[in-house]
Amino acid sequence: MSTSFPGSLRKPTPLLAGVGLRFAHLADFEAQRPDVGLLELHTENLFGLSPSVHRRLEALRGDYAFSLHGVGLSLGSAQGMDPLHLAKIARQIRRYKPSLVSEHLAWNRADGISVPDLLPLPMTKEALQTVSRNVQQVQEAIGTVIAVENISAYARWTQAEMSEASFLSELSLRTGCKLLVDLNNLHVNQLNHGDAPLDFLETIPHASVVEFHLAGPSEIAGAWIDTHATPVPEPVWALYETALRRFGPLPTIVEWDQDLPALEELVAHASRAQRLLKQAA
Amino acid sequence: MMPTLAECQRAWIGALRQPEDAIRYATAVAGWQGGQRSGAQALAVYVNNSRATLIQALSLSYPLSLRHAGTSLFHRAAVRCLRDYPPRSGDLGEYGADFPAVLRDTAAEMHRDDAAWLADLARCEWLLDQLPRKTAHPAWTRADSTALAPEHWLGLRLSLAPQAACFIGDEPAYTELAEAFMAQASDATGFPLCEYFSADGECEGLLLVAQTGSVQLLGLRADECAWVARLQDSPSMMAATEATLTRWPGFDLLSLLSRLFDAGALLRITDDGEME
Repeated sequence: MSTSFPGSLRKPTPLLAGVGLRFAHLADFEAQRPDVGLLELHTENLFGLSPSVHRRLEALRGDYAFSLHGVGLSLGSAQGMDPLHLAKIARQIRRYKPSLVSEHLAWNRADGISVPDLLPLPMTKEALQTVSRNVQQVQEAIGTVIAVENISAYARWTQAEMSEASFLSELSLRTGCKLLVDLNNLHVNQLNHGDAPLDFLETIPHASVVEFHLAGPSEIAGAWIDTHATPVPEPVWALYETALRRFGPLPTIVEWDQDLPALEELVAHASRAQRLLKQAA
Repeated sequence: MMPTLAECQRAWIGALRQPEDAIRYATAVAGWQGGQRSGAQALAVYVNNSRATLIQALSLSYPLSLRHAGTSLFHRAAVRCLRDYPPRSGDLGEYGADFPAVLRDTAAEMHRDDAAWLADLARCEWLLDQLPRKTAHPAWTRADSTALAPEHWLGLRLSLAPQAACFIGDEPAYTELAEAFMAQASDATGFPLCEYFSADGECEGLLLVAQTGSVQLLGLRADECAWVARLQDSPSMMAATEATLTRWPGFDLLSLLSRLFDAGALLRITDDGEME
């Protein structure tokens, strides 16, 4: 098993902060070529693209490192993952040679039905065994390690045998996978469940963390939802600074998926992250 | 005894598919907690999220249908589609093949007199939406056909190229449908469309062929529809032509082939079944 990522960062640059590139911003991005180091693409959004859009993205590949971030593989499915879906992901990895490949500690598939959401897993030994098996299968299929991201959970299974941080730590130990820490998800879980984000950051192994995510949530009908529809709130920036002190400067993506702002505002967020990365270095 | 992971996941999927049963599931399958909310309330967040995401996915695949059906009908049909035909893939772009039929049934129940037309429009949109997902393949060209020795024409095996999709419906409104589709699709999908639309007389079918940055639409008469449909069942050009001529003695094969060549819609299948 290779322990490296499929591509290498574009250049050994301090520009480790980047943005989630959504297609609504593509034309502006091509025109402005903003000074960010990393572009995140949702892997599933690449599946049905026309060849012309693929070519436009490949043209950016020369100037930016790519991170392919999946949302639909269902690493936690007891019945296993969809082999066709995995094959499609592998195809996009071969095409784009990303520096980072990631998925979520979640499931969305059972009885042959897929739900377009990131559903939480019970933090049990059985679930750990299932996710470990699936992560190993993914890593063998794509020939590289992946990073697994903590999620926002709006409901929890009561039969937990360990915390999410312990689950991820053990998963990394068993499979060699890396960890992607989404600081907004920690914030959302704190708001909804009273979780302690600092405990999470203290528990996960230092060497396993390879990437951070920043985003903004929304309050809807009394619940905080990981909508990626708002600016990164100050508590998340504070968590980010804490994480940088503990883990050092690592690639960081600012995600914004709904109610998209002008590209300049998104890039301004990445610039703020870059300044904090520089301080941490 | 603690339920297995598979049992937990099946229960959750059941609750998501039947939101009205969410409370029953939440209480019957021990173990959901929602922080400051009940398990059922927490589960409702997921029900609402997934429903909104799937309706949004259908809206993106069927923008013209949404416009013509109206939000109320479209959403009603979308919710019904989610219940009766839940997604089978984590690739949301694949979701929605069954929506045209659901839209027709829902529109009919709401006494819309354009139910059949809406379903036709939706079928066209679905074909268009899925074309970029197909692997383009070099088409069999007019020059290729000219180079073929006459004796080989009898055994020629053809199929539609992967970048082509044929829409042959069962309703009589195709000319009107095609006109509407042609007039409005380009601004709705962002995909440059409709370089030409050629139909002599009544159009009974529609062939969509994806090309670089555009899609060509070809209207097909009834005999041409029959020939293309036969070819999709079996790649024998001779069999398709004989069957078509039996019912439509005036079928003009060369005229149809010429248009299909121009559109790049045909492939030749070799004896070992490979696309040539």
